[in-house]
Amino acid sequence: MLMIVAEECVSGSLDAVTPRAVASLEVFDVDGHPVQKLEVEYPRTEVGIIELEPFLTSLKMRGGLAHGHLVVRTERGLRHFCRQRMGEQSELIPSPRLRHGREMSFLPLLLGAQREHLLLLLNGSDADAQINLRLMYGTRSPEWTVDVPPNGSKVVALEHELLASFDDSSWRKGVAQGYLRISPRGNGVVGASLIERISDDEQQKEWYRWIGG
Amino acid sequence: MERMKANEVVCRCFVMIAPGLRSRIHFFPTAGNAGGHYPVVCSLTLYGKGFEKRTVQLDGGRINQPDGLRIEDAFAGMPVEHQGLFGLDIGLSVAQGRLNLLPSQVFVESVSSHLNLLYSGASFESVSYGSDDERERPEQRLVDASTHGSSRGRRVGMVVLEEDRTASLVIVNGSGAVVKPQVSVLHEGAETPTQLGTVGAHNVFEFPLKEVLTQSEARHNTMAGELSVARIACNLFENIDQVEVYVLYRYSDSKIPYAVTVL
Repeated sequence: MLMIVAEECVSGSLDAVTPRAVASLEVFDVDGHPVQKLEVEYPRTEVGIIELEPFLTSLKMRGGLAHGHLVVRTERGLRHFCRQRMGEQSELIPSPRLRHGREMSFLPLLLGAQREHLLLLLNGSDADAQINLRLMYGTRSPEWTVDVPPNGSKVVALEHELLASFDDSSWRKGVAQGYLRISPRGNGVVGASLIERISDDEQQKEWYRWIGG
Repeated sequence: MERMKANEVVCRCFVMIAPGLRSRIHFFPTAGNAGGHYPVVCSLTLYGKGFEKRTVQLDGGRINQPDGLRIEDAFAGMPVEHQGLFGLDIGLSVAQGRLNLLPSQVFVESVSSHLNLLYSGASFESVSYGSDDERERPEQRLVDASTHGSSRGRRVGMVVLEEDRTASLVIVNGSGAVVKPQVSVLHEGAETPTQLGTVGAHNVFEFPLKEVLTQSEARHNTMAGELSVARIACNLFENIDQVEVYVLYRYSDSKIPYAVTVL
């Protein structure tokens, strides 16, 4: 579910500008093909709420997960969040920060046998993006490069797809603090978030954390 | 005219301190497209009710190198009676005046046997100085303070409540003056301000929003149940450069926090 809210400026209330706010939404599949496009209009004085579920049915299944990404275009002064249900939980998710050129971003994470991470990468440009990923934990810092097609996205299982290719399993013992550094190469415009799944064997429960910023 | 330097930046956030709870900050000093491993100085300033403001400086940081530490380690020897929410200013600076540290990031994490909270701190802001500040040098990158943060005296955002959840505003006052914020629910163009009380100098305060929200909250039936969504405004009136406002969500029954957003 997407929620959009209008901010205001000191120079004058946006409410007074036009009574209705407009947002343009576009859903892209993993390969970067647009699968839905719509425009929503709502009273500027309210929070705009859009159920996304009906617009996501044509997303492709990849790696056991139907996924893609949503581009929200609004005028300046509107902010939005997505509310995502994960298991029994729900999270309020802001848009990932997009990085251009050689700009870098980072995500903190805890590595351990009880945790698994899905890395969500998106390419917000019309050009192919190569994304450099460096995971720093302890004294180690393995590095990988992932390709994401124009306007596409990719879900990478950190432990199973990336760490499995690195000759070290020390992170499985106990819990190790790690940092994932994300940097685009070339002309890509990239964003990244993590979904962390934590298993609690004692309580036979698991919960999820969305890590992004 | 007040000027700002982007090679000295600060992020204002809050941490929870309690027995059995571990709070950790993670920070990433970065300067956009600038490469190189320039040294970065990180300063942490902790403040709160009944706790005299304390600053520690961390050397050894580098541009584009993430780092983190536990609050208990940074402020070792803190008396056990100090518990609750504390304001934390995370300052980053580099000697190179042309570098812009505003894209830097901070995450704050609190973990206990019942709690697993990680939130992204507000955006970094430039540290401001008066134009006659002797540290200002002509070659340093300058930002006109009149355009930066011009809307910061009034924050408008949303609060989303599910069943059995509560929300509160956390106002982090990093300034040396008292702040008297007002909060309003904005609904159909109407606005009824509620005075929240006062937040002392270098203090942090949590204001429950329950009473404010029940005045005019809008309920929405969604595919995943009923939600209350309110558009709220927080008027700060003064000290706007040194005050940050967050929304803290808790489970109603256990009072355990589960999410934080910047208003």
